[in-house]
Amino acid sequence: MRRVMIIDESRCVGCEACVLACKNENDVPEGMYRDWVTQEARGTFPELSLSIRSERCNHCQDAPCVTNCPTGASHYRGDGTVQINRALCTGCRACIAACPYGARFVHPDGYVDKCTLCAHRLDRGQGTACEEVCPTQAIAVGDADDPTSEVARRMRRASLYVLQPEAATRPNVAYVR
Amino acid sequence: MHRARGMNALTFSRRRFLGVGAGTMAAMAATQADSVFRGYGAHAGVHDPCTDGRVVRTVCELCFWKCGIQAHVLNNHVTKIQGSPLHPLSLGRLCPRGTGGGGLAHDPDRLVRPLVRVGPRGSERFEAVSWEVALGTIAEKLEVIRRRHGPEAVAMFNHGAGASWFKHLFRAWGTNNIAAPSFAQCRGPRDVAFDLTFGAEPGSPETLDIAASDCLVLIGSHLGENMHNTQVQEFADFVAKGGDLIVVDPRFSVAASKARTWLPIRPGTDTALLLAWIHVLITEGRYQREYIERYAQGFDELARHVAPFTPEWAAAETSLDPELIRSTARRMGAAAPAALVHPGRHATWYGADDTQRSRAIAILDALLGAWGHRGGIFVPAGMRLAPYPTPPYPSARPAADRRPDEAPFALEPIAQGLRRATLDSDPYPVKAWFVYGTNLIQSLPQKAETIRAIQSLDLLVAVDVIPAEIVGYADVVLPEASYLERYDDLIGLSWRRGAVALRQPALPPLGDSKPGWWIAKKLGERLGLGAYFPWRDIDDYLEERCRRSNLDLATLKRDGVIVGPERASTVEEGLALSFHTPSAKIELSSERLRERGFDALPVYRRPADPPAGFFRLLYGRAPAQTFGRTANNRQLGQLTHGDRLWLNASAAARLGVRNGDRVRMVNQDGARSEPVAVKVTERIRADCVFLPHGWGHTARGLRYARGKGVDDGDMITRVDVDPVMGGTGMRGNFVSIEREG
Amino acid sequence: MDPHVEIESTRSLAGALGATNWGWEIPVYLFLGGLVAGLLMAVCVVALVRGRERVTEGMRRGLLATPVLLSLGMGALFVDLTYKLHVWRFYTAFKAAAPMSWGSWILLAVYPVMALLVLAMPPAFLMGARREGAGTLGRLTRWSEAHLRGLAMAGLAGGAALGVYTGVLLSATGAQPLWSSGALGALFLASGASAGVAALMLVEREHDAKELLSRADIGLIAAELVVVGLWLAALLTQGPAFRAAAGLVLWGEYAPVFVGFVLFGGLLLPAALEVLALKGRAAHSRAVPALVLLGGMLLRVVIVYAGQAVPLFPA
Repeated sequence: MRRVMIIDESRCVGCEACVLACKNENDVPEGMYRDWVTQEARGTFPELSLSIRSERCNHCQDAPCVTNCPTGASHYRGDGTVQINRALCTGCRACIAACPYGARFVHPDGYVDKCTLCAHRLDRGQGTACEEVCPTQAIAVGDADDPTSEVARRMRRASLYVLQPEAATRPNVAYVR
Repeated sequence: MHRARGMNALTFSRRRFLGVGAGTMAAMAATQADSVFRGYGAHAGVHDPCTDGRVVRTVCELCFWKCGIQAHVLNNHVTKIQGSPLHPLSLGRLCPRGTGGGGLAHDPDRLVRPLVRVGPRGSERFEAVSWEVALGTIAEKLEVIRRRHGPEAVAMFNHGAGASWFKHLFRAWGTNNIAAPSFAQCRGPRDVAFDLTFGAEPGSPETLDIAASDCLVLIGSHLGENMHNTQVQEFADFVAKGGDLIVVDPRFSVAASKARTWLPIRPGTDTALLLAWIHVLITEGRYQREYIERYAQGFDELARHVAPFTPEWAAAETSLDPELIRSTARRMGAAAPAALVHPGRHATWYGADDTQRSRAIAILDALLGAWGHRGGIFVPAGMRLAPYPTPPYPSARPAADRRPDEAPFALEPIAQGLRRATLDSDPYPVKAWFVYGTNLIQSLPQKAETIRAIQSLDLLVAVDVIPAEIVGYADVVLPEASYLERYDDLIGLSWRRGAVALRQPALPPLGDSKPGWWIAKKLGERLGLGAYFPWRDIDDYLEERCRRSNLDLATLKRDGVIVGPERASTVEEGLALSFHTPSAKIELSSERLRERGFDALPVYRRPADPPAGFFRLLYGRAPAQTFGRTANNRQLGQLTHGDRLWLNASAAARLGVRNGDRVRMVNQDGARSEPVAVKVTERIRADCVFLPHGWGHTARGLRYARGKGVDDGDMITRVDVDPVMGGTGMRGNFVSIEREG
Repeated sequence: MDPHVEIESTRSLAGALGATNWGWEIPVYLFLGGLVAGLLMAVCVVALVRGRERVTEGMRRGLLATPVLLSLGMGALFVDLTYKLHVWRFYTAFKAAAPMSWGSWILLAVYPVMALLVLAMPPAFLMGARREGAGTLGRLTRWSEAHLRGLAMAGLAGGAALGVYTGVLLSATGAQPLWSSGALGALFLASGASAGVAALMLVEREHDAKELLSRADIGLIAAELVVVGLWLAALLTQGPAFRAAAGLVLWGEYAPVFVGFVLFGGLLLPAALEVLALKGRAAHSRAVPALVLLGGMLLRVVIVYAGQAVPLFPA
């Protein structure tokens, strides 16, 4: 099983419900974000385009944060997600320096924190908080190894892309346009 | 690294994630691979450890849409709010505002005790009192006013589902001066226009069959930044399936970014575009001929009327490409009847143009056959709800909001008219205002007039959850329990299937705040109107209403909603169309308007250009906010505020303004704004600026919102009133930009 | 022709991206680590090539300083941790791919080597205390003296590892264009060696040794200039993100410090002064090693801060 999240940019309207649902589900401290929305406008009036994305940790298959973590706190869970074992985290923040997406932050309690892909919900057969709230169904989470899943369907689309491909981290979070 | 407190001030580590160590693989439960489907009813029974087992299904009140929600409660704290999978408007999903409802329930600035003013009006100086004293004071003053001026001397302003108790109270009291700013300051023109044309309003929520549509035209709607849940859900489905989206907007909105065609129209010229579209449909025979022949009247006059309104003519007015005007009209015609021109919602733009512009939209929808067809405007069903029997209301003097022959087509009293009546004591004195859930200081334009009117009152009462500006002027402030802490009256929904929802408490009321039903009943009893509140308490009321309506209250409490039977809502489903107009047909040309001396068909009048060096001020919504009512919500404050002024990049370059700079606006009447941050962007025309409405709070009690952003209302000193229904057009103001510092 | 781009995000608008991840603690540690590496390597080279007797009093004092300086450096690392209670977790795992991990172990391993080297080559004021020691201390001393060659090789290797890994620590992160160069390891090694030699020059009294150190320093500065040149050349030709990063230090916000105090004040100027001194045209001055040390510290300050000023992600 490889958990992936495929986000359909064409559906996303940038409402940020995903940001707030995550904050409430995961008690994310004020001023810090496990997920966020990015808007990219290109062109000059009136030839314009707008790209809107919900972003978070990309749960990379070749994660520089895992590679650079000296204690094994950042690790592959084996289900496609990258997680942080708080008991092992020293707060050295090499992982923050290593993440090309800036997905991590220092929790006020001292450890480094980030999106967990709501593993606690996925394990119980629920969706991630962001996925469930999203009014446009832009976010889909599922098993990439199941060809009948919504995520597998989205992954077959030609417009599939990942953020910062030059970082070559093989993310498990990807987008379609 | 600053050590902030967590979002929920809870210290136990219920959510501490214990990672599985590297090399250990716990047996993973098989995950349900597909999580994308509308509603997640399959999961409804799953216990969520984020609660103490209490998940309360109730109704959101962060905006007027009233989605069904599931509030998760732990230790009297709302930990999260989700959309209810059972409610037809939310289908398990929720917009950011509803998601942040906990930020209202747990707002540290909430009103928690009744207050009586001790300083001058507006000084926000109060003394906390008991409910006895507060209600007693109000009753006493109201009685004095009644004896001196009659019961009609009391005006009641309201917004929100909880207003029902107070509308009932004041009808029983004997006044017709009951107004909601949402009419004349917002949707009024389009409601009147559609009522004149089809015999019915577009609905609230609007009954639009967006997902099934093949062509959707948004003109005056920035859906997507406007987060009306169900509509956004359907909009996303429409976009994803490749529907033909045409967006008309001076700004490159989120919706415009998803459109096949974006028409960056010159502000104020929408009616010209609409008339040209009608012209193309008619002259090229691309309208729904059979439908018009069968259901409409006035077509010949319409055809003659639009003959001169060619795309070339409209292009000159709108600054759009005539071929694009022509081709978009053809695309609408080709998709009809599954083609829909969104009626819009906030329609009070330019005054005399407003009802007529909405009429043009209605006529266009009629030509497309949208009304009653799949992919157009469906005809909703409601639930039959029996009232709780109370004595009939006494007859009362006609409302004071309009002089005879003024705004003859208004469907309800106009709020600024009541203000004028108060100032002029014309047609009779208005000496008391009772304000429920609407911040008149921000919701009515021309703030200075509102304050002047307030200062002339003998009594101002404000019922609210947070200390908005209007509260600062009140003589008596009554703290209402938030929507998460109270029952309200049954909330009916007219939709594809009718439904009735129950708002019920997830938390006990904070402090000494009380639910509206209690406040209205207690006040009513003191005013001798106990007969109108014969029920013992809310349980008694709801039980009786449900019994008479054949609804099972226990089911309603468990599920939060009861959905009615399937009924045909479109012709395709077997609906027979009927129109509640005098002619029983769709009235393309309006005799009723003509009789009153208005244009029977929409006429375009060119708007004034901004003076040199000025920009037209446009305002709108930010997705994470509901105008001013959510600005103090600290949860929503974590999201993008939308409190920056959008300024075209070339215009900014000429002014030497860079992204993030602070500027002041100075309007055509010399009014100056507070400093506001600028968003320099290519996403807007160079002749206008845009600002979401709802920031610039000055109330000291709103400690989070105060000082953030600016109030566009300060720049709206000029109001153009629509003579048809009294709507206040607020987009006729122009601002110049001054760099700050 | 760049298309006009406007990028913003929830967090960029909330001001959540402002704080720098690694602050002053990291450049301080990197400098002290590099300095200790250089000291260790310099003394070990002298011991290996010229023998114990030629390890001067100044060099022995430098050697004695290494555990102190390294401890200060580790102290800075400790201060940097946001979850200090878990510091011992560095030593319950070894992650071969994480420079921070093998750095922790190298730091640990280097202490006994330094201690034994000091026992073998103590400075004069400690000489007496150690000679008379019977028991463990005496046995260790004799063992160290007997195995000086092996210890010096270990010290050389350990010093080299210490010097290289501080650069690799940054380059392994891969998310900061300014740090994403294999040259960083070589740069920090050369810089550390040069700083070590400069530190020895500060305390050296013997004229011959001073000349030796001076020549060594010129060579090391030359090597460092070559590596800096290669590093910058690579950055300037690797693509727009890397070019922007290089621009920050060459003509941008950090240029005054980098060009003025690192390139010129920390490398070119001291090298020129040392050449003049060796040719007899100027006096050997303590200003030269001081400039080198200051330049070394500022090199790391600039690289750490400038590197974090331009992230790969746009918002």
